[in-house]
Parts: sequence; C-alpha cells; structure tokens
Amino acid sequence: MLDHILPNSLAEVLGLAAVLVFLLTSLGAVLAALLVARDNLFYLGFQFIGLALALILSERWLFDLAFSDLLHDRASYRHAAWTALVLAVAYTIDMGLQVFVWHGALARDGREAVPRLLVNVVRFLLYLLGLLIVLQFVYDQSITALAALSGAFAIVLGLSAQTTLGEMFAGIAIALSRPFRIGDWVKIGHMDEGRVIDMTWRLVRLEMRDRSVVHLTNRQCAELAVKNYSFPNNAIRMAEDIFFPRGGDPERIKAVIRRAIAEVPTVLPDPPPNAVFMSARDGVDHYSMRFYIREYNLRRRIQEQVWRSVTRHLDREQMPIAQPRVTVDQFVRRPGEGAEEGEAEARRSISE
Amino acid sequence: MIRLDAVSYRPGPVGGPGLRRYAGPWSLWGLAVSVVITGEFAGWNTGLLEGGFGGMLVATLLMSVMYVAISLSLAELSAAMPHSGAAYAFTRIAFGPTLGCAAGIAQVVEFTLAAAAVAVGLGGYVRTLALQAGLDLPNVVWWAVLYAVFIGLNVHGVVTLFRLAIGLAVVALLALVGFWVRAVPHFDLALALDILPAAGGSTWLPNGLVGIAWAVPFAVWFYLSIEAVALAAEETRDPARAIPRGFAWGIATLVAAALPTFILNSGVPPGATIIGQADEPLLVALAALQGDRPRPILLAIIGIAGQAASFHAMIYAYGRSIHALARAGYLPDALARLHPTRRTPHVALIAGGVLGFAVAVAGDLLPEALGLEALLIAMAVLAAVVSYILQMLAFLQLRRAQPDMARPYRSPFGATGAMTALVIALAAVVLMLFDSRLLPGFAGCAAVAGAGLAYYAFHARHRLRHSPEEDAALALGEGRKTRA
Repeated sequence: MLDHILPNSLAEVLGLAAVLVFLLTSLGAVLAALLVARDNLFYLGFQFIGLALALILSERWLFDLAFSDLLHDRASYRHAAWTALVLAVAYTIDMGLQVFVWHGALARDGREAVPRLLVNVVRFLLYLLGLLIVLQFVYDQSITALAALSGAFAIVLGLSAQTTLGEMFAGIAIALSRPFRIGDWVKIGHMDEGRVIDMTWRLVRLEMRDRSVVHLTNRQCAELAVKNYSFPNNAIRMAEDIFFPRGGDPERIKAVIRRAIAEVPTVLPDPPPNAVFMSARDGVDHYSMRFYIREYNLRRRIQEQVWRSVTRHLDREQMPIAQPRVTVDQFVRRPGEGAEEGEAEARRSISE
Repeated sequence: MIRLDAVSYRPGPVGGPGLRRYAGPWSLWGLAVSVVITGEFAGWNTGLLEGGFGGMLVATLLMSVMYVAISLSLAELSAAMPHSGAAYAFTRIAFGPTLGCAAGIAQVVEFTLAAAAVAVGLGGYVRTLALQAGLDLPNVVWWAVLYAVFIGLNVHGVVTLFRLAIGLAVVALLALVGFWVRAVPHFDLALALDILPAAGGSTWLPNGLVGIAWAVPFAVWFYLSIEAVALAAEETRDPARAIPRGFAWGIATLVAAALPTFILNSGVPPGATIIGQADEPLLVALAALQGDRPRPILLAIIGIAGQAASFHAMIYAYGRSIHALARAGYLPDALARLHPTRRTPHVALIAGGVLGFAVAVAGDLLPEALGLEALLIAMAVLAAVVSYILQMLAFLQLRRAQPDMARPYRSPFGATGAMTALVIALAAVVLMLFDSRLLPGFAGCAAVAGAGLAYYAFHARHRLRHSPEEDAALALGEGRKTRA
C-alpha cells in the first residue's frame, strides 16, 4: 500500500484533477499561441496561476510522488511552487497591461501609442518587483540589504552611464508628454521635416523626404522645438499664392478657386477650402488659396492636384493668371564722370 | 501516388426542396441532452473498476473540460458553417475532400453503431416490461419494432422529432433528479471507496494513477455524441444564434447532471464494486434503496427514459450524417433522397436502421465470447474521438488560415480550448492503443474507414455534387486563390 504517496482524500484527488486540468489547458494554450494565434496570452496567465496554486495545494503527496528525486526537500518544492505562483501573477499582470492598457486604453487608431521603451521599463520593473517579492517572502532573504546594495550599484551605474541614463529619462519624458508618435511628420529644430519611424530608449529616427534617415538622441528631441504636422491636429493648412490682373471680381475669383480646390479628393472638405484677397500691388491682385490636408507626406502631390484643378477651372472660365510686375531702376556710374551729370538711366522690367 | 484531393463534380446540385427549418435553441437543447443522456444511466460505471472513485472523478472532470471546449468550438464552427454535414463539412472546408470524407465516415460509424448498441439495451428493458404484461417475444423482434417506431417518428417530420426529443430529455432528466432525491440521504463515502486497492494503489486510486487513464474512455459516456447538435444546422431557424445556445445550454445541463449522478450512484448501496460491474448501475442502486419493496415496472420505465431519448436522437444523427454525405456524392445518390412531403431524409434513416439492426442481430447470433457488442461500443467511441480530433484540427486550421472568416459566434476559449480538447483527445487515443481489449475496435474502425476511403478514391471523387458543404469549401478556396 502506498497510501502515503498517492492522493488519498477528496482534497488531494481534487488537487490532482486541478494539476492535470491546468497542465493540459496550459499546454493547449502554449501550443495554440505557437501554432495558431497569440490572442490568448492573458488567459494563459490565469492558467499558470491555477497550475501554481494546484502545485502548492498538492505538495503533501505530489512531492513524494514526482519531485523527491528532483528536489532536495519539501522546502525547495514549496519555494519553487511559490516562485512559480509569483512569476505567474507578474506574467498575468504584464499580459493584462498589454491587452487592456498598451493595446487597449492607451492605443491610438488601433496602434500602440506608448513607445516600446516605456512599456519595456514597466515590464522590467514588474518582473523585478516579482523577484524581490520572491526573495523577501519565499526565500526569506532580507531585501533591505539588497536595496542598499542596489542603491550603491545605482550610484555607480548612474555615474558611469550618465549620458545613457539621461537619454533614457528624456525618452520617458517624451513618452509621457508625447510631442510626437511613430508615423508622425515632424520638424525638429532647424532640420528638414521628416517622418518618425522609430523611438528607442536612446534614439528617435526620422525618415526624410529623400528616404535618408536621421538619428536624433532623445535629449536633442526634448530640448529642441518640435513642430508636429500630424498630431494632435492632423488637419494641416496649406497656402498657395496666385495672382490675377487688376480689376477682377474678387467674389467670382474666390468662388472659382473654392470650387476648383473642393474637387480635389485628397483635400479635406472640413474645414472648407478658401481664398483670401491679400493685396493689390505690383500691378496684380494677390490671392492666397488655403486648404486643409491630412496626409502631410503627400503634400507635394496634393499641391500639384490643386494647381491642376485650379488652372483647369480658370481656363474654362477664361480667367488668365497674371504675373506681378516689379520695376527696377538701374543707375550706372562711368569712371571719371561726375556723380550728377554722368548718370545714365536705363529702365527695364523684369518679372519674377 | 494518387492525388486524392483531385475531385470532379457532376453538374447541378440535387434538386427539390431542402430540409425544413424549425428548431430553436430549446429544440437543440433537447437534442443535445437526449442524445447523450443514456450515458448517465449506464456505461460510465465500468470506469469505477478501472480508476476507483477518485480516478473516475478525475477522469470525469477532465472529460468535462474537454467536452465544454469541444461543444463551444463546434458551436463556433457550426454557426459559421451551418451545414448538416457537421464533422464532414468542417473538415472538408478546412482540409479538402479526403479528410472531409474520413470525418464523415467516422461520424456515420459513431452514430449508427451507437444507435445499434442502444437498441440492444432498450430492447432488453422493453422485453422485461412486455414479460410483465405476459407478452413473450424474442429480442430481435423488439429491436425491429423499436427501429421501426423511432425511424417512423423521425420520418414523420422535424416538428415531431424535436418535440419528442425535448419531451424525452425532460423525462430522462426527471428520472435522474428523482434518483438523486432518493439517493442523497443514503450517500456514504465509504461505499464509494469500497473497491479493494491493487498493489501500489490507494483507497481513492485503487489502480494507481494509471487507473485514471483507463477510466477516461468510460468517463466519455457522460458526454458522448453531444456533437449531434451541429447536424441540425440546416433544420434550425437562425442557426447563428440558436446553435451556440443549444450547445451551451446542453453541455451545461449535462455537466450538472453527470457529476451528481456519478457521485451519488457510486456512494449508495450496494457500493462502488457492485455498481462498477452492473449493466444498469442506476437501477441496481435504486433496487437496493427500495429494499424489500421492488417495483420492477417503475425501474424499467426509468431505464427506458434515458435509452429511448438517446435512441431517438442517434437515429436522427446518423440520418443527417448519411444524408449530407450522399447529397455531396460521397455515398450513393439514393441515400440523399428526401421524403416528398415530410422533407426528412427517409432513405438514409431506413438504410442506417437496417445496417444497425443487422449489426445487432449479428451480435446476437455470434457466440458471446467474440464480444461483438463490446466491439461495437469500442468502435463508436473510437470513431467519435477520431472525429473530435479532425474537427478540432479543422477549428485550429480555420482560425489560423481564415482569421477574417465571418464567425457569428466565437468560442470564448478560442484556439486554447480547441487545442486543449485536441491534446486530451490525442492522449485518449494513445492510451486506448495500449488497452488490448480495444484493439479489435481499432481494427474495425480501420476496416470501415479503409472501405469508405477506397469507395471515395476509386468511385465517389469522380462524381461529387454541388452540395452546400462543397460549395462553401469551393468558395473559400476561390477566395484564397483571389487573395494570393
């Protein structure tokens, strides 16, 4: 009779059932995640917790039955089971944050809005906390000493890695204040505008219009002025100058321009396109065509479409576009001639 | 090497009106409960001898987990692909015609043989009742009468058969509840644990941990055949809503019925050792509780309740399985024919009935030592487990390859549930391979599957027809090509 080894009470038999059920469902979940889809990782956490709890509750018989050769004594079994439980809880919280926070509450337009850096720092802290709890409560190691040690370690690390840490905290600051996100069109400092393609714990990568990539450190990004064309307002106003001969009917001109721009599909209907009568100088009437676009990266193409549409409409309405006329007076002083009488005067017009 | 998946179609689908839509969630609940309920009355109890009370408890909990996962996974598949082929339809759509045909054969084998086994048991009860009334007829006559009556009710129409399924399910559940009420005051844990441990065993696990594995095929009885609900898809109004409810309510009812029945039936006089050996454990326990006031007629009626419910529903299930395969050309065309006014697959119902009756008679004529009845039950269980494996693989394949497919209902356990069910089912098959008593069952299944696939390879696959299942599979295949 091996009554002392086999489970031999209702509680122990239920423990055995729990171990088997959670073992099999965890196996199923891991296989499903590997082979089918990774949409079950949060629930896998609860299965791990269930398995760890079942292992803890089954210690009395399970240790003798299966683990006595593997582990030294019951205490190591208990430690291992509790460690598994704490790590399973940490894993579950991690996956819960993943599902409900990073990809849930804090996601924008279906994509992860919080940079990976912040996510990874939180995850690291989460598992570190788990390990500290294991050390303090499972293995009875006082973490006060560890905290002191880690304090000293932190000072050494802080001094030696000052720049890197500065970058990291600048990265966290960027993550929290969110001046831009991956995919945004930005202009940082006096640089050309570019699209943010990556944000790491040290760098921000911008892809320029010519596909070259510029690397800026997080600290540079935090210190320089950032002009964002995509966020939080993703409707950006464009303005194009256009000139007409003097004396045209401003209302008619504005109406034709508005109609022409409104026909371009990539121009936003709201706020509506507009034309503003700016001035009447240099022999022409100066108008500014204003319209809003969303795809800032396509602005050159949109400008071209706008001009094509406007010129087509103006041609149809037989409304010519004018050139501003600038008069330049040129004085030439010949050598040896007096300033007053030796001046020849030439007049010519140039056009811009 | 023959390319088995290369098939060709005859022009046009089978003409005429299709099956009639009638069932709602409660009809499907009735079908789910009635098709399974005989397993709560008998069959599971042999597991007590294998695993003891503790081992059987663990095995029952494991099977409950597996069947909850299977039910909800099948609910997802059936709501997305509401075709009466069920196992054949899902596997055909996920993996092509060869495996689809194999799954269809497994389904037909399961329900035809299970119906035959139930007919034998039910015939015994009816004979007992008839003897009380002074009517002495041989078993074979009663089997023929039972098949004729229940096939007649099935042919009569969907309204009759679903109402009957609900009625029989309720009667059988009431019989169980009556037993619980009677048994609770007499429950004694010591009786449940009275099986003598073998060397190395304990009171709760008399045959050790291995006993749990040997008990699993018997714990399957508590839920075997619940997948029949999916076969009613084309006779259901609003299948996208009704089928998931039918599955969920059905499995919930069965779990709630299985655990008290198992615990109470094991723990009342005459005790687990005798219950484990009994042919009718519930009746043996009731007789013991009645003491010196035996009422065999009442007992026989209680026994009839469960078996009649399951017999009725299993006839329904094999009828739809055969009909769907024949409609697509995998079986001879005649089997696809529907009754012109009743719109039920009467030819398939009668053909499956004749087959089941012949099998039952053969079992009666052959010497008992050959154990044909045990062989049939083993084959039915094996065919069921094989069809679960194929259907769970189909679920996983469709989740992987067709993530955007329209799914009106999604299993809350998702791929994890299907994968868990698959792992348990695979483990069950491997364990069964080690049980020498089940080897003839494997051979029988292999023989039937081999014959069916040979018919498919050399004849049927050159003359398939455009059935709803085949059209759905072709449409999905076209979609895949277009995307590529």
